[in-house]
Parts: sequence; C-alpha cells; structure tokens
Amino acid sequence: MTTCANLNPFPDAACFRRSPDQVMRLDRMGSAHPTRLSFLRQMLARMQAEHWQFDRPLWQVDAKGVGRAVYRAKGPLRSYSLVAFAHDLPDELRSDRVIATAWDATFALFDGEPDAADLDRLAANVPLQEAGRVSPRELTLSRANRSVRLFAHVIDRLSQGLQPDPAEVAAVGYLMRTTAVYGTGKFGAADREAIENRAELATPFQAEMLTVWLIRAFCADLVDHLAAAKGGSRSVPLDASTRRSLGVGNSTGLGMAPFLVRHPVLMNNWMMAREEALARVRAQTLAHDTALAGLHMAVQAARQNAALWHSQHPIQIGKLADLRRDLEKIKDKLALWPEAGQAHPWDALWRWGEAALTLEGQEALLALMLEPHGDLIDGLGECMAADEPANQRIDGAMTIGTLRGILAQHYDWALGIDFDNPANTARFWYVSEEKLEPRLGDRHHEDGAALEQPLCIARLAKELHAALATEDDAQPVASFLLRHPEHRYALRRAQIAARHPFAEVRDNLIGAEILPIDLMRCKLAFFGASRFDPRSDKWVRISLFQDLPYPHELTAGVAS
Amino acid sequence: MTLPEAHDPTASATTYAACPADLTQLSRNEVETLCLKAARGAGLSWGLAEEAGFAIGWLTAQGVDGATALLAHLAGWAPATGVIDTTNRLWRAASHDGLCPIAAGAALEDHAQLDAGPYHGGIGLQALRHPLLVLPFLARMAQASQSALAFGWSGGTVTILPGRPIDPKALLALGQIAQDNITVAPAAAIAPVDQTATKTTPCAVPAATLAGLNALSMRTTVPASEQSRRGAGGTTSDND
Repeated sequence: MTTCANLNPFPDAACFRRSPDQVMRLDRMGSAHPTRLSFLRQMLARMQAEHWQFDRPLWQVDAKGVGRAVYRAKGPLRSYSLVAFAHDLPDELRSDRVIATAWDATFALFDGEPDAADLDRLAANVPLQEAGRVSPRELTLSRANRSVRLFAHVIDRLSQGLQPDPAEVAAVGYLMRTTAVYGTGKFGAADREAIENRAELATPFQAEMLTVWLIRAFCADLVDHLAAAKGGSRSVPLDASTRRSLGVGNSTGLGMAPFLVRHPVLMNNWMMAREEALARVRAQTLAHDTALAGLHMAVQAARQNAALWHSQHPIQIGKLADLRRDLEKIKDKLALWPEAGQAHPWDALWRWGEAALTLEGQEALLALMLEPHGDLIDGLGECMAADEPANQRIDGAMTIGTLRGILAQHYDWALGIDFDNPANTARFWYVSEEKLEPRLGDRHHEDGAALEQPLCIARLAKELHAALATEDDAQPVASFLLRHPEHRYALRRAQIAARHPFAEVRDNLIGAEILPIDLMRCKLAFFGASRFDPRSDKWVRISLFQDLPYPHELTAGVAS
Repeated sequence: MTLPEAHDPTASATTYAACPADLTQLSRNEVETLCLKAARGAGLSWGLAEEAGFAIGWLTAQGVDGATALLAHLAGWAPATGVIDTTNRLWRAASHDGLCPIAAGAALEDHAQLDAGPYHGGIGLQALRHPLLVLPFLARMAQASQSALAFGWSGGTVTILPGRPIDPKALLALGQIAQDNITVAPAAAIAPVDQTATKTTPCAVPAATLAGLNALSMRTTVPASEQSRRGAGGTTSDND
C-alpha cells in the first residue's frame, strides 16, 4: 500500500492517521468492533449492488431431516452453490470437537452449479469432512451442529402453529453453529490463487462468508420443513423478524489466534484500510445532515446490540459494562455535537472519545463514525487483500545498517522487553501432537518449549538485533544469512514490517499476561462477527449475520 | 456440565486420511504447509523451512514431484547448521556433509543483486544434494531480475528464463540425481519459444512420500499433557 500512496484521493487524511504504536496493541485489538469494511458486510453490499439472485434448485430432505439441498447465488459473471447434506445425528455423537466424525449437517461451496455427478462425488466426501477429499471445484468445506435446545423448541412451537418463545431465541441466537469452515486449499479445495482475481472473491474470506450466509438460510428452511412434517396443516413458518434475529453460531479456539501473526501483510492491509477510513472521516471539514442522521441511527443500533449482548466471562462482563456506559456517553455527546466553528468536527468528536472513553468505547466509536461514510471509505475494502508470495522474497542487498534502522524504528517495542525476566517468557505456542492444533503452554512448568512455534516475534526480533551487534553496517544481509540461517525468519518479517507498518502485533505474545482472545476478537471483528462471547481466555463463541438480511430479502431490497 | 476438553473446531493443520489410491492430489497450500512442517521437523530453521514450502509448492505446480525429492533430501541428511562457505565462488556446506539445496537456493536468490551472486559470474555448488530443489529459487530470481541463468550439472545444462517454464526433460533428469557438483552462471536470454503449449497439471503426491513427510512434520508437534488438554478449549458445554 505504500507504493500507491500517491494515488490516494484523500491526501489530507494522512495527518489524521493513528500510529501503529497506538493501534497494534493487544488490549486495543481485543476491543475491536465490526465495521462496514468487515468482510461479511462487504459481501452483502456487493451482492446487493450487483443484484445477485438466489434460489434453491434442490431440496431433497425427508421428514426426519435427512437429505441434501443446493442453494445457488447467481452473480453478474459467476454462480456459486452451497451443497448441504443434512444428517440424522444421534445425540451421543454430537460434538463440536475437531475429532468428531459426524455432524448434524455438512456443506461445501461449489464453484458454479453442480451436476448429478458432482453431487454424488460430494455426497461421498463432504459428510466425512477431514476424512474425505474435495477438489479444486470446491471453495470451502464446512459442518454445523444444532443448538439442541433451540432447534427442538422452534420445531415444537412452529408445528403447533406458534412462534418460538422470544426469550429462548434471544438466549441462544442461532439454530446451528459451524464448528469449522475450511477454505484456501484445505482438503484439496481450490487454492486462493485460483480465485483471487475474481472481483467478488478478491476481498479476504468472501467464500467463507458466503458459505456461512447460505448455511443460515438452510437452517431456517430446515426448521420450517421439519415443523411442517411434524405438525402438518397446523404448522406455521418462522416469522420474518424472528428469522432475522437468528445468526449462525460459531465456536472458535486457539487455532484462530496465530492467524494474524502468521499473515503479517494481510493483517497490515486490514488494519491500514480501517485506519485510513477513520482518518478520512476525521479529515472532513463538515458534518453533513445525512451523515449526522446515519451516525445517530448507528448509535441507536449499537445501544440495542449492547443491551442484547451477554457473556458469563468476567473479562467480557467488565468490557460490556464499559461499552454500555461509553455508548451512553456518546449518545449524550452527540446532543451537543457538532459545535459551531469546529474546523474538523469529526476529528473533534474522535479526540473527545480518546479522552473520555475506554478502549471498548473508542473502538466502538470508530465503527460508528465509519458507518455513515460509505461513499468516502467503501473503496478501501479493495485494499484488504494481500499478495503474500510477492512479499516472501528477501532483499539480500539490503545493508546491515538499514536492517538495524528498521529494527530500531519498527521493533523498538520489542527491543525493550527483558526476556531474562521469566514473566516475559512465561508462555510458548506449540502444535499439539494429538490434535494438530495450536496451543499455549506454560514454559516454566510444561515440557515441549523446544518445539515452540515462531510466534514469539518480539524475542525473535530482539535476538536478531543482538546478532547484528558485531556486524558491519555496510555489509549486505545476504552474507549475514549465509552464516546465520537461524535468523532468516525474523529478518524476513523485519523487511515486511518496513514496508507494512501495521504488520506486527506490538506486544509480547509469550508474556505471562497474554490473552489469546484479544487476537481472536480482532480477527473476528474483521469478519463482521457480533456478540463476542469468550468462554475462557482461549475460547470464544460468536454469531455471524445476526440481524442482517437473508438471501431472499437482499434480492427484495430489504438490506440494512 | 464441565467438559475437560470442550470442542476444538479449528485445527491448524490438514490431516491426511489413509488414501486408498497411490497418489493424492494436494492443493498448493497443502503442499506448502506440509513441506514447511516437514523441513522444520527435519531440523531446518523456520526461515529456511518456509523456503522449502515455497520450493515444493512451485515444483508441484509445474507438474514435478518435488515432494519426493524433498523427502529424500531431508530423510538422508543430518542438518548441522545450514551455514554455507562461499570462498572463491565455490559454495559448500560448512559441515562437509553435502550442501542443502534449500539453503543454497535461498542464498543464491539473496545474492541476486550482489557482486558475489550468480549474475556476476559463475558459482559452483559443491556436493549439492537433490539439485532439482534449487530450481524454484532460480526461477523466481530470474523472473524478479528479468535475467536468464544457466544451470549446469554433470549430465547437462538447462537455461532458466524469466517467467518461463523450465525444460521438462531437464526437470525429469534432475529429479533422478541425489547429489552432484553444479554451476550457476549468467546466461544470454534466448528467443522465447511458443508459450501456449505450456499448461501444466499439478503433480500428485505418492502415498509413501506423503507418509514420510507427515512423519517428519509430526516432529514439530508436542505430545499431549493433561495440562495442555485442560487449556485447549472452553470450560463449559457449548450444547445449548
């Protein structure tokens, strides 16, 4: 993005940007809120603007809920089809764990429109999930389990001609929760490079978001179908407002946490797009009436969402209290804003927020300020993809002196950490042998630290810095790497960080106080997830698409 | 209800089920991830393991079985430090047990713009193991530099042109060589041949190679402890 700086249509925004030192801290990242640049919002906006059409060309599901269905999304150039397999899963087999071997429903997103042979091939593989193989014709592989309580309640009520109890619906918020959505070449599916040049899939995670959105439609159809099978003519379909309030649940563990660290260019581009959006809004010299009205509506929606957002986790309970209090402060502030004579009223609002609000409130204010400025910022969504292979090459001609300067400028936060203090090396990231998933160990009380994953960026950067101490400034890094291949990883990252200032989380990821849920919340906010609900410091439940339109509603123009 | 190890939906890695066929068609992402882990499991530094992932992903996309060559290299090699001695433009392993093609390929590319690099005179690679594995680096380097390179081994030479596929016959021949003395030198760009006939099918991975690389990649993992199981997931049931 640095190379296209001269193309920025809003150069004035530059002096309103936040610094990476402020933005890339775990506590602030762990307060991130979804914005209109979030990936599911980008997908819905595109599909609405391009008049995508949606239908259900196949529905072969029996009265027990077993069978298959196809949901088709038809765009201006291409179609995509969610192929769903519904199963009759005995309760004792229902597990969200990755070692589960059966699910209530399994899915693949097919590139195009599957024929009978494709469906048979998928029927032989998709229900097996990790034990099967898909092909480059598939973009994702996924599965979901029912919320046993709500699913049964909804069918029971609908079959009697009644709508479900709103309290039950609100308490769970979803009919099914996905327990994995695999994309990007997993299990033989299409690689990212095969689809990244398609406008509708260029933004990250668009295939995954489409998969989940169509799963949501499948879940709503399935309860209507099963209620009709049970209640016959007495049954009624789920009413539109209850449907709308149901998202797709998702449970996510530590597997997601290292993603942002492993993809520094991607993280930089996500952050820079969001930060540039905030800077553009702050740089405005006027607050137009339409933007003011949009801001007031967004604040109202955020207050309603915060009222419905619950968690049992002590950390999140405190953060929710901060958020609710701050949203009231924002509401009160808006009664007096904008003040006459303010040269940059949005910047004044932002600066007030930085002084008056907690991190929760500040990051919520960011999302609120972006909301009524689609014309100004939505184009930034196109900057959120990354050409990762192009950034893997090391510039061997860079001098040691230049590298030293990069470390001083972009890793000063790391060079100051005392790694002789056991608290600063208390944790280590590793991959478990039995589950092949990332875990966080206790270095001083558990075995396995010799097999540590390279997520301890701060320490690796400091070790590189120390190794350079005796090197000649004029020498190229290529000759240093001949003698020190062990520093190749950190050196590559440093070169990436020099070009991508938001590439690194500027905190010690192996410190005693690390909260992995902070990394997860940041990533999930970029997805567009709402109602972030930690179940531990490493485990989180979220909802996707809650209160957003269904495919048939988008076509009818009912999008929010 | 408390589950000691609640649902862990997100595994970090693909697991490869026992495949009834002899060959498995992996995506490029799967090849790169598997080879990165296997290289690390065999003892390469993380930075070089990443290069191994790139190299085998590139070869596989060209229709060449780089995965089997990587396994042969890693399985028969005890990595010392990966340090390379480049005295007098004759590159050799500081540990004298054969030059690692991943380390050598990455180092050649690091030197692309330097006087000590292959665009400023020939470089000898002494006792280079599995020379096939160096080619992805030379191809990426030729593309980035827009300059051709000549790659010579005891059985022939092949020219690596910017952005062009490498002669499949040369790739096939090199795939048979476990160790050789190699030269890499600047080459004149020759007139490109017809580009239309070069669509390649990614190479499938033989079952034995998959098993071998998987075994190496498992060396990067940590056996379960009760403490790690407790820490993995949530502490309450998700089944509501």
